[in-house]
Amino acid sequence: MTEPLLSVRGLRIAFPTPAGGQAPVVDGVSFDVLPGEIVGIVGESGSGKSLTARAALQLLPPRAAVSGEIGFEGRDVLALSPRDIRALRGTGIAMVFQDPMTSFNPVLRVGEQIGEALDIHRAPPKQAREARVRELLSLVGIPEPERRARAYPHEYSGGMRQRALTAMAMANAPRLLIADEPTTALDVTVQDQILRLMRGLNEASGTAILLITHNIAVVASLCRRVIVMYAGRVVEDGPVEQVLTAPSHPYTQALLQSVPRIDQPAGRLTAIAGQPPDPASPPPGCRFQPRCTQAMGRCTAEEPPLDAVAPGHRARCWLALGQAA
Amino acid sequence: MSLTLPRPALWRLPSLPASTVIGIALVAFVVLGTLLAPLIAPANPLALSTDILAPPDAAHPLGTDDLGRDLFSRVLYGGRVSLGIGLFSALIGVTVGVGIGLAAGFFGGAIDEALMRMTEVFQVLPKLLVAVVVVSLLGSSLLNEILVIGLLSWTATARIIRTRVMVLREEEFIAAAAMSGASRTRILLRHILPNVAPYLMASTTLQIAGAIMSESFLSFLGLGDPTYPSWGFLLQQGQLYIDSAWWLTTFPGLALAMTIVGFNLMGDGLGQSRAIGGARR
Repeated sequence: MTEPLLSVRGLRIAFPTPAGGQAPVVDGVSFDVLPGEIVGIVGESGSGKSLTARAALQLLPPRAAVSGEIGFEGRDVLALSPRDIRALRGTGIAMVFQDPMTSFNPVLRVGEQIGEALDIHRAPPKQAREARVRELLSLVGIPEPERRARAYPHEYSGGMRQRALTAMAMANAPRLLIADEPTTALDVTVQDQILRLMRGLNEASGTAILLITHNIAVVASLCRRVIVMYAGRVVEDGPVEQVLTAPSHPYTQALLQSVPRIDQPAGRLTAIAGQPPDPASPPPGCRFQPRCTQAMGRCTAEEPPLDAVAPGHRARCWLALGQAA
Repeated sequence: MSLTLPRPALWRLPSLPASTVIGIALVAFVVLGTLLAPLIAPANPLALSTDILAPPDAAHPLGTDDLGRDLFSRVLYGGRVSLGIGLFSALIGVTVGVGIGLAAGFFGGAIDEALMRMTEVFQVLPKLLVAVVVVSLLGSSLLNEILVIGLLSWTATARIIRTRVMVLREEEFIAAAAMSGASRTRILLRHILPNVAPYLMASTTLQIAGAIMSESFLSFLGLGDPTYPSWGFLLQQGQLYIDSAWWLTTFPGLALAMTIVGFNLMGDGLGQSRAIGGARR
């Protein structure tokens, strides 16, 4: 079995509450990303998926209390010194942010900002740097890279900015690219282009991708494995085909049912009743039980473990584990 | 096929309110006058003559002082001193203010607390009184005046910059730069500083006005550098003859008022102008 590239173990991220306590917004999250793999993390807003990703780069606000382990190529990222984490950012793990509109410094030319990512780690001579910037821009499909490199971010469209941002993230050939909702702020047609771009980068350079999204369709089209998060916990993970066609956890089932389908008559959208729990006071037992249509006695008494329901497919549900009684 | 993007027209004057235009015109008038003093001035400002306390006439457009020196020439050259002190002390004030504002806004926490408490101490100091005391103790020289005025006038800039930096710090492009592995110094100098620059135009302009006023106050009290007579110094000299030679106080006073009003109008205009980016967001 191959060594995982990224290995998250028992990650817990808590924020101080106004009352003086600690609210764990990510609680006991564990998963692996193998080299060259595309893994999706899905979950609704507030499920902790973005925080999990940012923790891998130590990009959390200082008031966040982080524990657990994030191993990257055998090193514990959370224990790295500021100097070492800076060396890792961009070269080992890079990130593409959600909003391409605000991810560029408005007063610097796009080429300079991509070039800066190169300067930070290698400081190449000017000509080599410019050549590499052009190469990166054409890699992400930006036409006329030479002229485009001299343009300012406001001269780019949303889709182009997302491409340029991806180029910036790919500048130092990272082994893992974390894409945090890379398509959320874009038009549907542009979304598709960005997803193709991500797949192309994965195939061409072998960069593993951790894709964070709330869009199941995106996961279905791009990822090999998927991790479903709910209220700071992993509730299900496994191969995409299995999780999407035969979901084990009622939350995953409900998520899939709430996706509008083109092959069925339009009716009311199916929504999941209720609200995600307050991280400061999670419900007893399974975190999803207050909203679960199949909840039973054991669900409120005891939280189920994340356990195998099929080879390589795990779920955190008594029912799916066949231990409902 | 190649698309052509409209290039931002830097040379095209943004449309500015009338008051700002008047301010810019006043400042330009005064600055040109002092810069071109050697060409315009009818006489050496230090040359004595027997024509003492002469009222304005063709030979001496603004009259002469008690030693027979041409007042027009003295006002032109005095402007160099006043504007120079104004400019350099404003630069000191802005530099210190930017440094403190950047550090407080970017690092936050205890550093922010300490710097802001220090800023408050400086804000409540009676600036002119402190300036008078310090210049009296250290002696009147151009350098002392510039340093004292500059080091007493950075608080407003520091607070403006701090607030702006706190907003910028949370921007996604800062996280994007950090994601690429940029150090804090690099983020501060390359990503935050250029984004606060537009705010500095207005505050620098306003500080020049304030500094010129402070300098004239010091000179009026006789604390100016006597080897470099500024407008405040001319006012002080002229007040002895205020009832017999009105021109000795009127013209330097007018020059001073024009300059200060000019810089203030210009500063206010720049501060509000979208065209220049002063009030962006």
